[in-house]
This record gives sequence, structure tokens and C-alpha cells, in this order.
Amino acid sequence: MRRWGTRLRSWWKTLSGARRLNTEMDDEMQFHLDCYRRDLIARGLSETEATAQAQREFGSAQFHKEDCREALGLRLLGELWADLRYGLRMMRHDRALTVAAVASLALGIGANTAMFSVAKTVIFDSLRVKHPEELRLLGWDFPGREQPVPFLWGNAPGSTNGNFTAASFSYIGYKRIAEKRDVIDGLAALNLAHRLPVSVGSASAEMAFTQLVSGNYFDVLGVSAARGRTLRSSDEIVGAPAVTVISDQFWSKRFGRSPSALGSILRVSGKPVTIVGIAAENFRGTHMDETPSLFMPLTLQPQVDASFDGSQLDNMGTWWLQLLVRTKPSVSDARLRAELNPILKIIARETLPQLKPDKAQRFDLLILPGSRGEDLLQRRLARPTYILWALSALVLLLACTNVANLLLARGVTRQRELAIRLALGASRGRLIRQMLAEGGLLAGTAAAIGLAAAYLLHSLMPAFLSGQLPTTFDWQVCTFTLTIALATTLFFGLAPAAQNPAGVSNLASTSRMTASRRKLNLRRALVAAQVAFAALLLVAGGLFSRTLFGLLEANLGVDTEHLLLVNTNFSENRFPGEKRVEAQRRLGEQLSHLPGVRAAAVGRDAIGSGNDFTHQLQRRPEGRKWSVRENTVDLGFFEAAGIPLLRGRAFTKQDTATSPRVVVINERLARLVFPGEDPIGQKFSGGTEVIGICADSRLGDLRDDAPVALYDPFTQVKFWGDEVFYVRTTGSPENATAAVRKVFRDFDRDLPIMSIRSQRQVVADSLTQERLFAVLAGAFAVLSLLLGCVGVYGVTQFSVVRRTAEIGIRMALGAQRHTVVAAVLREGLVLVAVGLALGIGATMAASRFIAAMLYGVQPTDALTMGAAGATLLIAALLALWQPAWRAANISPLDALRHE
Amino acid sequence: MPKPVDLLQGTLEMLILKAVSLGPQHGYGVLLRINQISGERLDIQQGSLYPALYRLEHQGWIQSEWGESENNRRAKFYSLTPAGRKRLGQETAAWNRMTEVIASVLAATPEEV
Repeated sequence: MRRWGTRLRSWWKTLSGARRLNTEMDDEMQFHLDCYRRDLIARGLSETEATAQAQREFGSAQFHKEDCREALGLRLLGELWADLRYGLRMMRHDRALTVAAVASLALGIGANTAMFSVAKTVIFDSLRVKHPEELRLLGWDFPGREQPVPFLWGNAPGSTNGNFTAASFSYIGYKRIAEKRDVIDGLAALNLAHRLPVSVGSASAEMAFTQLVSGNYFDVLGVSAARGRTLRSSDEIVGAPAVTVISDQFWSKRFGRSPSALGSILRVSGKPVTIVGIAAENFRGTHMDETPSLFMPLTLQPQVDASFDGSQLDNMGTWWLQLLVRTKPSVSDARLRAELNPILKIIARETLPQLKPDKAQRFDLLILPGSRGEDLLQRRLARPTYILWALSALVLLLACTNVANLLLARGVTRQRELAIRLALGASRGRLIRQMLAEGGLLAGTAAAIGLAAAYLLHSLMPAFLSGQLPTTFDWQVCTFTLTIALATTLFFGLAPAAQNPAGVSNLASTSRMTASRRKLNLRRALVAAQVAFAALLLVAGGLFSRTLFGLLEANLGVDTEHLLLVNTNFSENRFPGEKRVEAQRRLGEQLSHLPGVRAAAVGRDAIGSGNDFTHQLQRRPEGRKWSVRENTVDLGFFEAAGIPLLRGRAFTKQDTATSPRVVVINERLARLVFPGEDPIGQKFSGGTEVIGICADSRLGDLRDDAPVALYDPFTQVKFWGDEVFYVRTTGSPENATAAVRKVFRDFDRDLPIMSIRSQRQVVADSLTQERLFAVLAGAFAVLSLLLGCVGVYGVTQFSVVRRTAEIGIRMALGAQRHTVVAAVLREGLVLVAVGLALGIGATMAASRFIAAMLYGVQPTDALTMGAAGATLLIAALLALWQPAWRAANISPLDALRHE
Repeated sequence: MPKPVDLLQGTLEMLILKAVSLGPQHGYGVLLRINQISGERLDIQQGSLYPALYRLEHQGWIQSEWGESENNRRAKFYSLTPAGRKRLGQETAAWNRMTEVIASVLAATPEEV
């Protein structure tokens, strides 16, 4: 061990003073020579004779210095340095090749790095809290497809194996489970973060992302406050002072990081709340997606959160909280589940009276991983991320094969050089080292450029994916890049070296033929692979583009041209009960009086909102139940939205809270529930009467067809949440935006405008992911086409050059030019055809992975594949043009002279 | 002069260590010293000296210092380090053991086999 220490010191000494070392070695050996010379003279030789003999017997000083350097362990370093310098010279010499190789590699590496940084956030990263691997999310499942609790808030993990699965609990349930201190280190409850109107000082309210949490939330996560304090259990008592902890980003944005933020008072939904702390800077909440700006105790829910109807703290039927458990290290998941499951069953039995006791027993607790918190991101984005990553990996493979091909092409000239070096005594290992150094130089340059490109790209990516994605670009990403660079280096270093079997020591050109035949076949295989990759990417690009266009042009069922949508929220606190409908109507009237506005009305849901409001219907008690979509609307809605009313009537002022309950249904519902009958005048159980039928239109998600839907009036339905004002304009909706804003401001300063967009814009915005895919896949497709063409061109050119003599002889013997051209084209097209077949085959195999992301096209769509194939063939023909032309113009005399 | 003995590989370093152990010496001097101690029966290849010296220094058995030679010329002097001294002892013991074993094998008479 100690010897390594001395060796390292010795290395350091020599490295840091290379020139000094050289001089010293010279001095020392000169001294030696002088001494020996003196001794020889003393023995009787003349001066010249002594010098000659001394020199002869000592040998070459240069040689000894080399040996000395090797003794010092410097040889490897020296050779590496020489290799790199040589590699740089070769790169400068072959500028075109270098630029092409580095550019294509950089693109491949850059794309993959960018995708990796996204994948890290979406799939791999954990919460930035203490020991995230100790956290668990509690869930449950219940047999059957129906929701067993009256109100469920939160994103369900989805129903697995036919059961209904969810991860939400009631407040009472949370309290009961939290009592189990023996197996739980800590239990934090949180609700689904959403936007609430928050005003700072006298400024008007803006919507901020907030989350209600239990008092021990920060303790359980192990997150401290940067300033002030975090929430405490004592904050989570009904009647305690209203306090909040704000996030670091909110502090920066709204308070400019001023210390006066602590202790100042915010108004959340109009209610005053005091800021008692600012969370640590790197804390991003448990919502992998976006960081909540405000954290407030659960007990504030009745006052600040109008999303619910009154206080949910005592409501046993509302299961609205997610529970994050920090386990004790000694407690296994199985034990945790075994201990908590009985409690869940008791809770179900005691707090869900509508369930029969034996049914309540069938609630089953699930322990889900909590290291990524509520992890909505992964569910939503995992598949798209993987697909994009696969596409960019393909691009990288394409680039690699391209560069390998280019290097192999250059290898023909290098063969002589390598043969000479082998003849001069270089070992194969030495040559391989040089190849690796050159490959490393290429890959290293490409990686550096790729990293820079990825850094620029990653600021664009989040905008596409979800608008708020905090993709990280840290050392792990850089390590990933370096790993890819290393892998490609090895690929290039070893591939050409493998082409030099047993050291070609024969310098004669006859060996060139056989060796280059093998090379040609390898290159042909590479190009076929390239064409296959290109085919895959072309098909993918085509499919995604068609999906995007399909969605953009989809018939939505409403007139989308002249519609402006304004999202707002009349909070329950400020507009309770009747006052709300009054205020909505007043505002609607003011809007409709604007010049350029034909009609204005309010509704609850809009196209592209992603919402899913449902309503249960029965024609008779104990009869069949239907679950239909519901949109709550007010007077003039159908006119404003542009949904034609086919029969009957819409709502009027006469439909009030006390008058008979009425609804308007759409065509699909009419056909479904009243087949063959006239629905007008019919009643559902509960007495609701159908008064009109309207045309089908889409709602919520763009990809789904128009749902079975009914419309009910605001006056007769109790609801909470946001509203959407439909403003139908005569001209372009964008022109009316400023005027609409002014009307809102004049109506009520504190009424927040969450968004104000034209219907076209809403549709476009909801398609950001599709746009990203279409753009990226399209770009990759174009790139792959280019690279594929270069590959086909290169290999055909090589083949023609190789066979120059043969072609010349054939032409001298009478072959026609067009025969030669045909032969060249045939050779190239066969290659492309093989590659195409492989590529299409691969596409069919991989198609099911992207099926879920497509719209309006099947993954095995023949038209797209046909178009891709045709494009490739045309491009290949263009690439083959030059080599064919060259072949046709070979003069037999020149060919025979050509060696 | 009696026929010079061919040097086995690896023994050169051992000899250098021994030569240097007798006192700090520059490269040429080491050569002379070995020649002298062996009674002029060992003639070292001049070329292999310096690589061996550098190797020994790299491994820490000897250390070097620039000083003045007997005729006031600048020269690099090598001396033994404590680790080198230990190494010399180990090498010497190993060498002696080996020669003893080989000698006994070579001295075997037909009766002993």
C-alpha cells in the first residue's frame, strides 16, 4: 500500500515537471558519458577514440530516456497523449467527415440527455425529504366497479383487477389511523392541492396553488423552515389562529424575498391567514408536479376552501385526504398492512351507514410506495416519456451506425498505415488503444456539444410537457451523458479494430480486395440497419402528426370559431346561495351588452377542461341506473355555446330553486334512455322532467367522443367549484379579451380570472403533448432520413469505387451505360428494401406500445407505412443518383489504370 | 580477465541496491563500484543502468539528490532509503536460499537419487 503512495508521488513529480525531468536526464547521462570518456582517455585512448567508444558502448541516450520514462510509468501517458494529438490531426484532415460524425453524434447524445433529465423527474426521482424510501402512501380497494363512498377526492391509482381502488380517506378515518403509534413513526394527511384565490396586501386576488395539510406534515417529512417555523400539531385545532407556511418560490415571486413576509397577512378566499414560516428552499412539496405555494392546516378547510360544500372535518362521507406514513424501520409493509387493515374496516363500518356491514368488511388496505409522494406525474407521463426516450435512443443508434460507417470508409486508407505500423513492431493492443483514443476524441467532442444542446433543450421541454415540470440538470444527468459517450467510444474503437484480423502484415494490394469485401458487407449491414431505424422513425413521425391533426380538426360539436372562454370562481364565502346565481346573471348580462358580443352565459364545464362531472340517473326507483356526464348551466347557455337546441326548450327565469326540477338532455342520452320514445315531458325518478333535447357535443376530454350528457340549471343544483363564462363574439374572440377583462374588473375587483382563452386556444393548449410528439417525432424522422441517405450514398459510392476496374472491363467488353446504372441502382435499392422490411416489421411489433397515444389512426395504419416506405425509396434514389452517374461514366481506360 | 558472468534478470536491481547501500553514489560511480566489488568479473551493460535506477527510485527503494562530484561537477547522487535497506535484506536472503537449493540439486550424486 505504501508503495503506491511513493509511486503516486513519483508520478506527480514527473508530471508536474516534465521539461525539468527531461533536462535532468540529459544532464545525468551527459555526466556519465564524460566520466567514462575521461576514464578511457586515462587508459590511453585518444580523445576522439574515447568519445566514439563511450558513445558506442552507452548506446542511444534517447532510447535510454524512453526506457527511463517507461520505468517511471509514464509511457502509457505519453502514448495516450501522442494518440490524442494524432487523432486531432486526423480529424482536422478529414474535416467533412469529422463535422458530419460529431454533428450526428451530438444530436443523438443531446436528445438522449434531455430525455433522461425528463425521465428522472417523471419516473425516477424521489421527494426531496428526509429518507423518502421510508414513506408509504395508504390506499384501499373495494370489490366492484362502483365507488363505495359518497364523495371521493383525489386521483385514484386506477382500478386494478376489477376492484375499485383509491388512496383517499375521511378526516375521521385519518384521525383513527393516526392513533396507531406502535407501527407508525408519523402520519401526515394532505388533500389534493388545487388553486384558491389568494391576495397579498391590497392587490387583487390571484389563483395560487395551495394545499391543506395536517399539523405534523413537515415533521413527518423531515422538512424544516428556512425562516420562521413550520406547522405544528397545535395549528390543526378548530378555532386555532389561521396560519400558513409559504413555499420559497412563492416568497420570491410575491414578496421579493423580503423578510417582512413573515408575520404578514394573506387573504385566502377572502379570509385572513398569517404567514408563520417559509419552507426550506429545496422543498418541492409532495406533489412531484408543481410545488404548492401555500400550506395550511386542515382545520382551515371550512373557511378557505370553497371547493367543498361546508366543513368536511365532520363529514364522514367525504374521503378527501391522502395519507403519507413514515414507517418505523423495524416494521415491514406486511405488518403495517396487517395492523392497519382492521382499523380501516372499522372506519368503513362505522362511518358509511349506507353500506351493509358485510360489505363494509370488504374494504382492503393497500400499502403503496410513497417515495414519490402522491406521484400523479408518473401515472400521467410515464408512457409518453418512455416512448420519447425510445425514439431518441433510436436516433442515437442511427447516429452511431452512421459514424461507424464513415469511419469504416476512412479505414480503407488507414489500412496501409496500420499495416506499416504493425510491420514496424506495434502491437495490436497499441493499435486498438489508438483507435479507442480517436473514438474517444470524437465521442468526447460530441458529448460536450450534446450536453450543451441538451441544456438548451431542457428549458424548452417542460413547456411542452406540462408547463410546470421542474426538470433537473444535475450531475446525474452529466454522468449519464458521459456513460453514453463512453459506450459509443468503445463501439467505434473496437468496430474498426475488429476489422483488422490478425494484423494485416501484407502490404501488397491484393489483400485489399478480400479485406475490403468483408468491410463492404459490414457496411451494407450497417446501412440496412440505418434504413430500418429510419423507417421506424418515419412511421412514428407520421402517426403522431396524423394524431395531432386529427385532434385539431376534430368536430367538437360546438362552433369553435367565435367563442371566448373565461374561467372564474364565485366563492361560496362571498356569494352564498342565491346571491351566486344573481351575480352570475348580472355579469352575464353585462358581458352580452359589450359591442362585438352576441351572447354570454355561464356553465360549469367546458371542452378541453379535462373534468369529469357525472350524474346518476334512474327512470324509476329500483330501475336501471345510468351514469351520465353533467354540465350545470344557466340562461342563454345553448345560444352562447353554439349547441343547437333540437326540440323543446332551454331554461328560463321561471326555472327556479322552488319550481319543478328540469333538465335538457343530448341526443345520445335520448337514444340511450328513451329509445323509440319522445323524451320531452318524461320524468326521471325524483321528479325531474326532460324539457329539451340538444345536439351532441364534446366535453372535458378532446379524445373522447361526445358523451351521453345532460344539462341542469344552476338554480336547481347545489354545486361548488369554478365556472366558465361562454362569450360568443361576432368577430375574432381575441379582440374581445380586453373588454371582457374590464367588465370583470368593474363588476368585482376580487373576482379572479383564472384564464381567458378562445375555444381554439383551449383546444390547442390541451394538445401540447400531442404537439410535442408530432414535432419531435417529425424532426427525428427528417434527421433519420438524412442520415439514412448519407449512409446509402456512402456505401454505394464505396462499392462503385471498389469495382471500378471490373466496371471498366465490362464496359470495354460492350456493356451499355444503362445496364451499369441499373446494376448500381439495383444494388442500392435491394439494400433499402431489406432495411425497409426490417423497419416495418419492427414497427408492427412495437406498435402496441404507442397505440394508447394515437387518435384517429391505428398503429399499423397502412397509409402511413406506405408513405414512409415511399419517402425512403425516393430519398434513396436521390442518394443513389451520384454513384450511378459516376459508374456510368467510368472510362474503361482509366478504370484499368486505376488501382 | 576471467570470463564475465552473464547477469540474470532482476539481479541488476539487487546489485544496485547493494552498491548504493555502501554509500551515496552517482550512476557512473555505481557502475564502477559493482565492477570493483565483483573483482572485475561483472560488466554491466551501460544502457540498462539508468532505467534500473529510475525504476528503483520510482518504487521508493532509493532516493536521489543533486550534488557535486569529486571534480566539482553537478551529478545526481543516489542513496538507500530505509525501505530500500529492508528490501535489500529480503532480496539477499531470498537469493541465498535459492542458490542453496539449486546448488544442492546440482550436487546430487547418482546414489542419492
